[in-house]
Amino acid sequence: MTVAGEPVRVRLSVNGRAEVGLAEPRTTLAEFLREELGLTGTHVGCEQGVCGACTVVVDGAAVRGCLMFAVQADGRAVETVEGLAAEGGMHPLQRAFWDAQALQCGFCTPGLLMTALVALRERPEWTREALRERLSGNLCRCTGYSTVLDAVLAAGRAGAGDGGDDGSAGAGAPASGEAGPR
Amino acid sequence: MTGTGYVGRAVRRREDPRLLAGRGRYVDDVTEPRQAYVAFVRSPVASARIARIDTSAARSAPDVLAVLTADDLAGHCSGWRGLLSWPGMVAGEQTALATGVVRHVGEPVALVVATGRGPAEDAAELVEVDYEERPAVLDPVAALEPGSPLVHEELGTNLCFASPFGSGDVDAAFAGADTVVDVTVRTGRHTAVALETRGILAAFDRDERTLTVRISTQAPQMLQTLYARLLGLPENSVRVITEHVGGAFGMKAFVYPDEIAVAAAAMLLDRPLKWTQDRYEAMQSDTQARDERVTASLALTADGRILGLRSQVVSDAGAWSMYPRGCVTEGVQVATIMPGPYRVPAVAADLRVVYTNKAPLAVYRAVGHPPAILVMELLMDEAARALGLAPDEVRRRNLVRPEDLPYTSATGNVYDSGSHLESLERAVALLGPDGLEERRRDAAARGRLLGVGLAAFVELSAPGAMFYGAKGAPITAHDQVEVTLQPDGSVTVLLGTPGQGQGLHTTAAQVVADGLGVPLEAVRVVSGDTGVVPHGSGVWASRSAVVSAGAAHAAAVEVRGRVLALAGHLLEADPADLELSEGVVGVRGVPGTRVPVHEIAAVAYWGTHRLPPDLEVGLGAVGSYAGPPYTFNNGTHVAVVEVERATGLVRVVDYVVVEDCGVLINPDIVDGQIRGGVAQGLGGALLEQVVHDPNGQPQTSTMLDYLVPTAYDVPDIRIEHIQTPAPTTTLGTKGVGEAGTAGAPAAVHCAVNDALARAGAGGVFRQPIRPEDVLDALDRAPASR
Ligand code: FES
Ligand code: FES
Repeated sequence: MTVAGEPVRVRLSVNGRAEVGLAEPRTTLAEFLREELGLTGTHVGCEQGVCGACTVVVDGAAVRGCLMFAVQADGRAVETVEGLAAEGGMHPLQRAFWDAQALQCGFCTPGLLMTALVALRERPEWTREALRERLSGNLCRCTGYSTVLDAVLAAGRAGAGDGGDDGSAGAGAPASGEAGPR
Repeated sequence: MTGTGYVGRAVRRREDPRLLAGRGRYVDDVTEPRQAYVAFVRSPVASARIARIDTSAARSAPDVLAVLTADDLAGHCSGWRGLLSWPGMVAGEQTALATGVVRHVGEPVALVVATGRGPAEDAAELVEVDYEERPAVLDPVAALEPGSPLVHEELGTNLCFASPFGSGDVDAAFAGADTVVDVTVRTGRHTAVALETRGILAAFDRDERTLTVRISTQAPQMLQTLYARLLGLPENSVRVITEHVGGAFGMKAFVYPDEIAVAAAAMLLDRPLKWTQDRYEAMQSDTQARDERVTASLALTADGRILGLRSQVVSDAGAWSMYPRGCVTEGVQVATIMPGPYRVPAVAADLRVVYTNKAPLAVYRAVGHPPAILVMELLMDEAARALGLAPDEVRRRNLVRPEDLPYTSATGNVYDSGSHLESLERAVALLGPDGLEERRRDAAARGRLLGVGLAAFVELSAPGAMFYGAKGAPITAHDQVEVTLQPDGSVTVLLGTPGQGQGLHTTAAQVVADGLGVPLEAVRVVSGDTGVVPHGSGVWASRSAVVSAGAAHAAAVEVRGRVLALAGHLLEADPADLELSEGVVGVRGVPGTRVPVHEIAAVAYWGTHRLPPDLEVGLGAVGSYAGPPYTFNNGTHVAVVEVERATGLVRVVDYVVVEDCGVLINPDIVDGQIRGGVAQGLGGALLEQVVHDPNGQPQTSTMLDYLVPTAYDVPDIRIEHIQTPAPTTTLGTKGVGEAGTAGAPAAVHCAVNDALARAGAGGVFRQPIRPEDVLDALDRAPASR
């Protein structure tokens, strides 16, 4: 009971659009996106910060939506899986996932896509082993991961980190999200 | 088949664009107007009598609509026993909320309904329950001692089921053996950890008296039947909707007490109720598996031929026999699958399934196969060491050969076809044995021991009615698929089975496009709503590529026949001379006569005046599957591991799969099943275990404690297929969904023991193989000092 509190207004940018909604202090960002904004593409697999299904991008960084409170996202730019594709087109990462069959049940997929998006914005070229480590914070119980690695590597080659070549993926992202190769 | 040839092609999955866009519809994604939320009060102790429940504080908490206990549900939801007609099996009566006694940590005791999830969870903490704790039963062997506390006092015993299995003169086999090897193996208690937790959204229409249940399940029609029965509704008034399911792996194939409690509460309260399980609850209340203690011995001749196999299996069933599949399937399969792909003339297995105060044990991907195959392969390696034979050679000498087929195992399983020996030869060739010495030296230079493990196996797939149906559960193999050719030539497929990510819409579309003779793009597949689709038993036991595909093919062929009959009339040709391919009907050998199928379909719907009255015009048909009782796939896995001497850490560095699941409908989808399955098996070998403290408290309550494999843990997997068609199934397919999980624990385990043996150390005989087990084995090795 003590953690409950009066809802407050949260204003933020989601996938490049201004959004506003009510959140209790304890409402997580993932919950806020899902329940308040109706963006159910961000999934919740553990609420313990372990599985990565809830990963979204906040001001260019991959963030666990179950570990950040909605009020902490006030005034920030959030990107979710719903913002990846342009009208009628797939983002190269989505297309690469489709081509490589990098998903089965699809529950982990939004989180993996957003983690991979940030990784590819950091640098388009990854070795398979480095990518393996980078993606190891996102659990998938279905695929065994190797097609996910195939997909992300292919998307990197296709320029998926360039801020969204189908038009909109990078719309909410600041330029700082596009750091060059290390 | 009409030869347009979609079957066998790796077409991209039609399920994926929607899922990739974040527009899947998993249960928690759907919200009903006036929906309220449920939270559960669960037992914090493993065994206790409930002395008192006081719900008054919770009831008066803000936003709370109701607090219900077993007493409140008593007249509204019947209890059940997870009993199948195995001779002598016993099971306690279970209710949706615990009645008087709790038998494992996490058992639901009370249900709180509030206008929001937070308030419901807050109020659940205000429910006061007095538990009179009793000593918990945790060790299934001690549980059989006289005087042990009882999990179910009404049963008078903790023994759920006991039975011998096998045939042949085992005593003579052992008496005449030149060599006998034995192993005692303990496998860890697992749980499925589907990424999407369980959940339900239940709404009751008081005027129509209809219940609509949106639920994350593998078996919607089975739930329709059982919910109707338990909640006292006609079956035509229960609708079960299953859109996307975020993984299930056998764990979502039951009537769960918490889920049906939500449905009952929705009926009582006249409000849509949603419950979304959290991970903490999942770790306490999802079904568990693989908790087996096996002692086995193998009798061989001096030249390495198997004479007989003996085993004692103790299966830790946990507190309940889950409804309706029960808790004995795993143990039965451990006992009966163990001879695997080998010619074992005599088998004597002795199974005991025992109740304890843990979350229920039930089916989980590859049910019983992983421990069975593990034990057999460990025995084969022990035999190889004892006889001075190479591991592949002792297997080669015993594998079922083509001339032995069909082969009936000493436990009564019939292998109708397969490539048991060939798959081993291919796997050994793929591994590239010539490079092994170099890989070994390279690993040694990095402080690591390289080990190679083989697992040759068979997997039972697509079981028919005798598995459960004949034993009293509403589960069979007579699934149905409805195929309708629409007036414009598009095709609607209503699939009786749902999916949990296997790509069943894609494979069904491939089968129908071929069977009917239309382009793949013309086919739309619908599933997951029992108000719409025909009958099905759900998705489990590697069955869809056989059962669902068989039914889809039957329906498609029936519709094709009707189209051709109509076309024969319209074209004034003998239907036998007509062919239908890629949506065009033509007279065989007469190039000029090509009529698009939509022109014929349009007549069947809107131009029936052009047809004689006796011609059947409907272009929709329901096909059903009536195949063999089961079909076995087979294969061989090879794992290569590196064991770090300093830390005992094991890393799988290479993995080869040679799989024979008959005809492939979609090779990429099959490979996906194999890779995911191997990952789960690898998890079982090295990482996964539900751990309890001495009081029965689960210590693995988050995904940080119960480790599932990450991208870092799973190697790339090399897969090769042999396609030996099943002689008895419609398309020659065999199931494959569980094969990866069946073979991997043994291959990885044998590889670790091989690495240890090369360092002069004895093997490890428990799973998961923890670093401490490896270090222990190395420490005890005389050669490593
Ligand atoms: S839901 Fe956030 S990490 Fe699992
Ligand atoms: S696709 Fe199912 S969890 Fe990753």
